[in-house]
Amino acid sequence: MHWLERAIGTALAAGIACACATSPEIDPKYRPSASALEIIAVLERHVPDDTYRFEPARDFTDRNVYRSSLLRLENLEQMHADALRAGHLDGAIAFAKARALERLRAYDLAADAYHLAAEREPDLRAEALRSADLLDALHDAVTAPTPLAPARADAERLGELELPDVDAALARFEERAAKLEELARQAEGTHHAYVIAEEIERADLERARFFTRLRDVLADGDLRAVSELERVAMRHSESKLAARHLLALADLYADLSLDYVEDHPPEGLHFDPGAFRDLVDSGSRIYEMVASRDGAPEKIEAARRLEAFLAFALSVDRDRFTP
Amino acid sequence: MIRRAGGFALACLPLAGALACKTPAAMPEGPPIGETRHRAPIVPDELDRAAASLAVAALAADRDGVTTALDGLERAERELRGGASASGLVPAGFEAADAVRFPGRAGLAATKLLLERDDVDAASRARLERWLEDDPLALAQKRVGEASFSSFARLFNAVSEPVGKSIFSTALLPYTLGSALAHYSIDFAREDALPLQRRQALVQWERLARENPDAPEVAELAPKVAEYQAALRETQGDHALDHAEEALGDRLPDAAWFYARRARRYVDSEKAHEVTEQAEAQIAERRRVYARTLEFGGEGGELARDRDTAVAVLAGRIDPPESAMPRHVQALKRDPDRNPWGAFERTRSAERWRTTRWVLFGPLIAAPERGALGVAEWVIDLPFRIQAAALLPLRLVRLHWRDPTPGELEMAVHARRYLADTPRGEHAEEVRDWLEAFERSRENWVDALRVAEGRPGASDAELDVLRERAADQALGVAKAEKRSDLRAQLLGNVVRTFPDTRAGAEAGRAAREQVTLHTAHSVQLSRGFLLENPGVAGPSGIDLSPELLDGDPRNGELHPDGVTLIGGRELAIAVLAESGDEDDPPRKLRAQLSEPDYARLVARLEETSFRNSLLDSDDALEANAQRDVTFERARLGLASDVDERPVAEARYEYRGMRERYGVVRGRDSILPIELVVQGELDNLQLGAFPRLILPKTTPDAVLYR
Repeated sequence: MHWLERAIGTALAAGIACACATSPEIDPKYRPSASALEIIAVLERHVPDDTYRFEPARDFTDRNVYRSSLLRLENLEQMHADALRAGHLDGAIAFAKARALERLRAYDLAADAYHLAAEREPDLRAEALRSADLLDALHDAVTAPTPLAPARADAERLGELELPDVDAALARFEERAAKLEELARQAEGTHHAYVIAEEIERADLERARFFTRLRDVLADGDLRAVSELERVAMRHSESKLAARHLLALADLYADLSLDYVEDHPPEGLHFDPGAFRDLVDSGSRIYEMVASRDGAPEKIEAARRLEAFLAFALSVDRDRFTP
Repeated sequence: MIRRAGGFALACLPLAGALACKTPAAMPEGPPIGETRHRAPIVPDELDRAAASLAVAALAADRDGVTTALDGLERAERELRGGASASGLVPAGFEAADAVRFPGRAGLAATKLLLERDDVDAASRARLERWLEDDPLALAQKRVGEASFSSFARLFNAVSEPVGKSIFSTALLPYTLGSALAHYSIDFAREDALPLQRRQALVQWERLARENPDAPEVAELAPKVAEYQAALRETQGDHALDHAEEALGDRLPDAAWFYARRARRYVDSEKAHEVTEQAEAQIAERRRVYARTLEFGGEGGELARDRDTAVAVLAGRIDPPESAMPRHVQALKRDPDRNPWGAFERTRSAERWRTTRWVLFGPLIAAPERGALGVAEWVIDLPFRIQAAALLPLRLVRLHWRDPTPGELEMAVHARRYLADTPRGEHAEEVRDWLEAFERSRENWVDALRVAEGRPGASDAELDVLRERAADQALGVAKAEKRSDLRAQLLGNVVRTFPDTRAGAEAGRAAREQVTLHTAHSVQLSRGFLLENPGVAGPSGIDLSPELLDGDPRNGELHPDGVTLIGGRELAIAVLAESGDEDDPPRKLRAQLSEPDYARLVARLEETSFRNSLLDSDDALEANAQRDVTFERARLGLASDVDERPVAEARYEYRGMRERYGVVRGRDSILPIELVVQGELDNLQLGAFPRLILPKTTPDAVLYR
């Protein structure tokens, strides 16, 4: 039984040793370098992420990983300013900040950080300058004057405003889209392609919003607004915002139904049950489509809005509408 | 003798302790924080340079470069540290190199390998483990495991509970066990084709397939995903059908038709067709009824006669004939807006009837749930219901303390409307009495006072008592408001509305205090937090004078409130009051940090809380947008430019773990089983039984309903 006692003794000793073992700590002297490596490792793992199709990843702080990395890099610079004064990590930190900033739409700041990285770190120079040039061009494209310019007074009719020049606005939207498409071609095969795809989506959305907001004053405004939102939903069906685009379209149908009832009260002779039903069906179908997507936050929005929309539609039902 | 002396000393210890607590506290002699900070630059050594090279190679996504740089880092570690303890840089280096060498899902295996090393820092280990747990495949596996365990646990609990409750008498065991198993079977039959956790697993598998279409696991999982998707369609169809049947039962045929159509889109079943037809029949019937109301239906002569009567009534030549009015009168009588007393009486009568039935028959009056399963469940429970129905005295006792019922809330609405329309009406006194008693019973003193004040000849003494209570209630609401501007408005309202009350005076004092003591921000670092995190209290953080934390009040001591960042670069340092008593309000000292020191403090504070959250699951990070904005501005050197808007106020407390949880923390058991001792008043049963704990639903469960 000697071996048994010895085995139990060894097991006990090992258990006690395990219980007493403390996890290793990073030598405080190397904490700045270790923190820099850790932040860069996390960021680098998510640089290739397709943020056009998927939500940006979250880190252990439950924040957007790019925002969190940027904050942690700033913390690192503040906390270890003395250790970093030698400048051996300047280029790497500037480059990493640029990588984070470009995913947060701060293209000008990202370009500045890339320029700094190119200056400080020869090994990163080529990629930093390529990225900086691309982001400078992207910044120019997205900050160009918006077609949603202030309305001008009508010279012929005192106190009235001119109708917005739709053709001019469309031309500017097209111009911006062309610039972005050109940048997308340049960025093909790099992670910047996803950043530019997000900007193209935003430009398309802005164009759709232009027509949605002016639908009351433009000829065939309702039709144009619907077709523009449908265009966004179809062009960006792969986007992470696809459900939001569908919700916007369903909301427009809901607004059109409300407008229809206000313009043609159900008790009046001009109310056309078929036309109203068309609007209600389209809206409710899209709401349902989004409401059936498990795990998406838009599911709750769509389900509640569908209920509200149905409550409105069914209140009309008594007189002139059967779903 | 020695023993007696020892006993005396022991007896004196608590007294000495008490006296020590009362030692008068002095103000600190020197400045509370370090005044000038000189820091020498640190010269990087070989290890630092190797780490920098690795960082650059990782950022350049250079696979060969990271391998070479990692070799360099390991070589530098060996040369510089030799046999001494590890620097901790190498595991961080591996992580950075692996991010480039093993992108995407290949990184999971590399990370698991990295975690096998024993030189990984505890916080990094926790962070990497959390990253591994967030993998869609791991999450899906976990959810499927939870679903399987839940199924087993429900069956186990269904058996163990009746058995455990029969320990005092086994006579009823066959029946209770049979009943529990029948309930289990009914629940099983009612369960969704794809329950919550499996739905969550399906979403994770779909996420995996979208993000990594070429991963080998995607092809392996394809049949399982297809099976789950079919079950999900069935589940959604069943839910839509449930809604449709419910709407049909509530005489809402349009909604029923809509939901039945939705159910048919998922699964085109016979049942869905049947509900659609029933809804259509109800809609047609309603149309027919509406159409009939528009028809006259009588002879031409009657129409002419009615027309003449109507013209005569409109011209005021005759009174409206009684026979023509019953329908209108009926509608008027039932309209709660036009006849609130009628609505009040009707609701009161229904409520009395409901209460009487509940007192007399208890659970026997509960209607079975819809469908055959609901009826079966009701029948199975019948003996228990009959047994529970016999406990009438208990229900009589509970009657006094039960919460307001929906019927009573409805009565209150009608009562208020009646009093607003006719404050001196025929039934005003009766309605007022009921409403005041109702508001008192739910301790809503503000509304009780409003009702009492409307009473003609209300006694001043009674009103004064009510006013004091109402003022207390309003003061409580005002103090609970977090936004300072709204709190000031609410306090002002209390002062104006209840000027002669004790709470009114207190609200006045609180409002004045808020004006004089209000600060732009209040991010508090309690003494406990500072003691547990010396990095924040020390020279690389606040640089607090050591005397303030040495436990000796004679040279000044920090109050438990600790240090508060109050906006700008200012700190409010709370020190013990002169009495030395921690419960007394502290004396406040002010200090200011330079812009870089303030930015460094904020960075240190944030990084410390990140690290703590990784090392201790009870110390999780709490989201606070205003705090984050304030910190961001500090890091950018904008702390002096204070945003004074009340909506920008950062209010946050960093508290030590011992302050939050005490010396010994309550912990959830790691075992999935608990022993339950249960007694029930309804049927006077007592039992003890083991119960398997069902896994908690995740916070995103709401996105799957």
